[in-house]
Amino acid sequence: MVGAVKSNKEEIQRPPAELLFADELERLEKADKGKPRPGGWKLTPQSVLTFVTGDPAQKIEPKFVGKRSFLERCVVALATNRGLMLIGEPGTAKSYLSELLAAAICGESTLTIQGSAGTTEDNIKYSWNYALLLAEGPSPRSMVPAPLYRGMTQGKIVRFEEITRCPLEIQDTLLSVLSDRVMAIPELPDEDRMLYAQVGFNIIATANTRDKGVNEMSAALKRRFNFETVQSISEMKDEMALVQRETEKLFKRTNVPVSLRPDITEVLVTTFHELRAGKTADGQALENLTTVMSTAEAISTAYAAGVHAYYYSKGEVTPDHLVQSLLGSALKDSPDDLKKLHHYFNHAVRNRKGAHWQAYYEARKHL
Amino acid sequence: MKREILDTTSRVVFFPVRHHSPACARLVYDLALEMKPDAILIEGPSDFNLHMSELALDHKLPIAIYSYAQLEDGTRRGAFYPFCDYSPEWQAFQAAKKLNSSAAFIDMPWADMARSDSASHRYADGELRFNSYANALCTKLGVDSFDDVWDMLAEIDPQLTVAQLFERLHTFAYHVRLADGVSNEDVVREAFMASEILRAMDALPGKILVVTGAFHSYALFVRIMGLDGENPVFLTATKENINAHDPIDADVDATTSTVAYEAEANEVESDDEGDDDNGLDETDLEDFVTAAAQLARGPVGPARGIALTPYSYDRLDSLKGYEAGMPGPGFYDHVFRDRREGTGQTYRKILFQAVTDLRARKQFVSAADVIAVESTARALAAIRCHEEVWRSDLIDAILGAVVKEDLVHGCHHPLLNAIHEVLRGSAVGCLATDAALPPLVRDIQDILTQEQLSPGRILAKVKLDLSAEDAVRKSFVLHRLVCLGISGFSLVDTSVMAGGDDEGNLWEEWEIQWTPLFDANCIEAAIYGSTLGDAAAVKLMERASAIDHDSEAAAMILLDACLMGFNNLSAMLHSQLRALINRDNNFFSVTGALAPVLHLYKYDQVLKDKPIDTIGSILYQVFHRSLWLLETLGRIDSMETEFISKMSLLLETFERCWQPLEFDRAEFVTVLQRARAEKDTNPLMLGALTGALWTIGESPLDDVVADMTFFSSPDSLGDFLTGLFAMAREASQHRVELIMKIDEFLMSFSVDDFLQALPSLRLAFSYFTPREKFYISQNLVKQIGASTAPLPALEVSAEVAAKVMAYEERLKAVLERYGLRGGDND
Repeated sequence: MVGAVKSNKEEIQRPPAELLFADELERLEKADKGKPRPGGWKLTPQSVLTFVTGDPAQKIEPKFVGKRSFLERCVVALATNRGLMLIGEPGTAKSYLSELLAAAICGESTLTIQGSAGTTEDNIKYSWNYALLLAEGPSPRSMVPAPLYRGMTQGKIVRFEEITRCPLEIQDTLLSVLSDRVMAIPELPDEDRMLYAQVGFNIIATANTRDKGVNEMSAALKRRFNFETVQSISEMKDEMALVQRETEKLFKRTNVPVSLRPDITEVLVTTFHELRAGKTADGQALENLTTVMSTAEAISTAYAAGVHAYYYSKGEVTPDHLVQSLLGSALKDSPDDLKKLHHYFNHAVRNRKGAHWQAYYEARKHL
Repeated sequence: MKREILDTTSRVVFFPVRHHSPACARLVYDLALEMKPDAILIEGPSDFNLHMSELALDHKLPIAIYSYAQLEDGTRRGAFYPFCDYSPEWQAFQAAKKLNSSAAFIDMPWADMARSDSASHRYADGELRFNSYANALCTKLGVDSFDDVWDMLAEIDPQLTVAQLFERLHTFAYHVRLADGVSNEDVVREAFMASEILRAMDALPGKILVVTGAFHSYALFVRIMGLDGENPVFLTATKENINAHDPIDADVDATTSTVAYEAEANEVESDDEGDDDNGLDETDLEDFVTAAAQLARGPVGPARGIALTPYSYDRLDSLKGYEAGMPGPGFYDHVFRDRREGTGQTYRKILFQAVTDLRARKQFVSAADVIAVESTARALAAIRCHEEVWRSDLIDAILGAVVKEDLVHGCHHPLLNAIHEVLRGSAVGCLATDAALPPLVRDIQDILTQEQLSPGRILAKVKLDLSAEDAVRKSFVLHRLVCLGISGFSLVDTSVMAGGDDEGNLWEEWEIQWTPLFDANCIEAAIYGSTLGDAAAVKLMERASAIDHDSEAAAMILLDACLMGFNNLSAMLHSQLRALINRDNNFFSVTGALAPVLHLYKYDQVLKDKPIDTIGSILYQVFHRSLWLLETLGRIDSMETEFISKMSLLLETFERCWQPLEFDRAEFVTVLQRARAEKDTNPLMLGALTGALWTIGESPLDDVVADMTFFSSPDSLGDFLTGLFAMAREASQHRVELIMKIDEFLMSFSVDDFLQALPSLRLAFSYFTPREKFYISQNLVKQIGASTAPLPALEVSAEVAAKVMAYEERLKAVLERYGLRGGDND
């Protein structure tokens, strides 16, 4: 099945990491031959890190911007058979990181459970093919495995997205699986009643901190996970490079032949960075917006500004486009945030030197 | 790099260290015992050599050698050479003691190179920490900081041999030097150290072990071996001094010290005045050491000095930037002890200590949590190729396994704090009982005697009239003593805070009495510094750094600093204050900071040489930050009185300072206008904003009347007027149009409306004095055409007035005693 997908890789709208970076994974796996690693892992923990952070010497593309010690903790959590819980603000690439880790560790990132208010145990563990169930009774043949079941039998990493959006009792399904590494299937005959996880199985869950309190996790479940906070990018220049790179990619993909001038990227990323951190570059505290000001939002703002400039102006992205896109893609509909943004322009942007900053200040009229 | 430097069998061995590295400490001791050198030469102030015997006493570490000097401009500066048990320098000294060899410090006396901006921690490692080669190594090794690189190079492997250490450190330091060069100060010091080494080589037949920072080792090797063709970076300065702006004159200093040294050595030989206290072996070296010390001491006098003083891990760990050394002294202390005793797994002790501390604080940490931390830490150590679980592994393991909350940058978790406390260690040094008293104690005694402030058994009251220079000096001394917590000195009354008494005089009244704690307090305070001035400054800094967000408190520290006479506050304290002001998001505390700063700027006659520019620029910053926050203020329910007082302060600051300090007038006006234009503004707030604009001439009377009309309902008129009158008291009472308008509104009220409006109206008019109120009413009466009676002249003798006031005071006291006065603002 994977092979069939592979042949059409170019046409997939968004190929999973193990397809997109198949050759990198292959090379790392080859280099790792014979080296010790946790049971069931395709790569050594070192190579998993290399895959995520990149290494020019081995021609491995950098994929995630973050502190190395943080990534080491993530990999170690998975190697020590504790679940890994990635928490953080929306748009900090938690899901992407979990995808990369799963792809590197077990070569498959698609055993994914999407948490939501409607997630049921069936979506997590298994359900039945009712025709077969009625005809033959409960048996492994009549069973339809869900990601958790598959991960346990194949010894692979299962991803649980937005776990705190699920009701508490659904989350707690994971308790025995995480601590005893076993799932009871009471419907099946004795010999198949207990499913023991194969070596290599583990869970990466993600939860965003803005949803805190939607469904608080039980203390019992918390204990079974190592929690890691995915921080937003702390270095402005890293974030600028990322926004520039990703926006250009988007432009290319959608055939919008514009490019973002570096000073425009600077204005945009500085705004996002400062409003998110609640602090200007020179250390003045600001009031945080309620809107998420993540790197992902910065990219979509830049993209929207580019598209706007291309179709309705002459293709030159100006601060005016940025401010207008900010309204739609970032600010949503909070009047309070709008006020804070006004304040930001009046006090922080106003005194900045440089023509691009002054043009940006003038563009506040669109707000 | 010539590999001869790695040879540990040659006559002169250059042992490279990082100050406060336990691995270097352990190995330098081992190598010294194996080598049995005639002399161990240590990077340290050579003017201390005369006091070597004091170093050998039974001290409780950490202690420090403290060197001070009076600079040309008359200011006094001091520097520390701190020693812990695990300092390589200390262990080298211990080895010399054990071998009965001689130990000598060979660095230039600090007093000879002191300048106002020299680093005061002489065993810091800024040149390694901020080096491009070291940074590149961080990236290459995939670690976050230089400290991690260092740990990987030298500390983690318990089996590290001298040969491995030499290979790694000499190579590392060689490249560090090639990458970013060397400062003039370092080159001069190296010339001095080389000349000392050469002298020892001449004087002694046997081997010599030279223990210096790795950064200097190869340069010394090049100088001693006379190697030609080496990279010039090992002999000449290539960059500005890190901490000093003016280069030290290399040629002059180096040559004069060498030449003079030889001459001095001969002289001393003929004097035959060896220091027989030093307990060292009677060798040729004794002369050498004495001579070196005498020379190094230079002109002896009050202008410079050197002595031992207690130190603390807390202080060692709190040094930042170029002053920083190895972090986490408590951890490395544990590692050093454990390895000396042959036990490992130091991390377990640290972890259990932290857990015990936490449980003592009633924080729940289960056994399962501890297991999770330990297994994660071990896995992290494995993935990072650490031979043992290390500091960073432990911290990361706690972050991963126990901390279940999202961590915001810069915020701490209790468990992490507990670990950091254990890593820091709480050791406080103490000098041996037979050692001389710490320099601070002597300094305090000298100053008190000189200023005639020595505490006696009987309580003495001292009133200082601060118009006299000597009284100001005394006041500085007393404030510094109070800051250090030396008991027996208390300020009972002052007119300084109010900007002077009724006649504008500044005075302070102190009570001084000896208490049994006096001496103990002085000795305890010695960890902060060796002179009263230094120690009080350090203590003040410590207080400043404990303030997290409150800029009003920070501004009070600035005021305190001025009361203590620290006019040339270090840049650090200033930047800390500025950072606090920036970080503070509370309008009230930021604006509150205006009061002390404005006080300093405008009123304080005591501060004759106050750094007006700096204070002015801080005032500028506080003012503009206040404006920034004014706009985001939101609702001010229950903070109305506070708001009025802060707005008055803002207005006063503006009126007094906008021209001399070039405040942005346009910004002030637009901010007030924008805030006034906000919907849903509280009537009092709007009244105040309007009043402020009116006062500075930016709002015509028509606008004021329009605003008032908007708030003319009975439940808001009084509040609006309160704000308006508080800000525009002068203007309000003289504009008849305004008074007529108020009258018009009042006349339209029904009786019930009027009663509803009355309390807040009363408050509003309380901003006027009785006489002003009389003139207002007289104007009003005149306008509406009624006849006015003249105000009867006030015929009260001063005596009666005084009696009345005294009676009122007594009355207030009684009311207060029975709790009848209500709030403080009544």
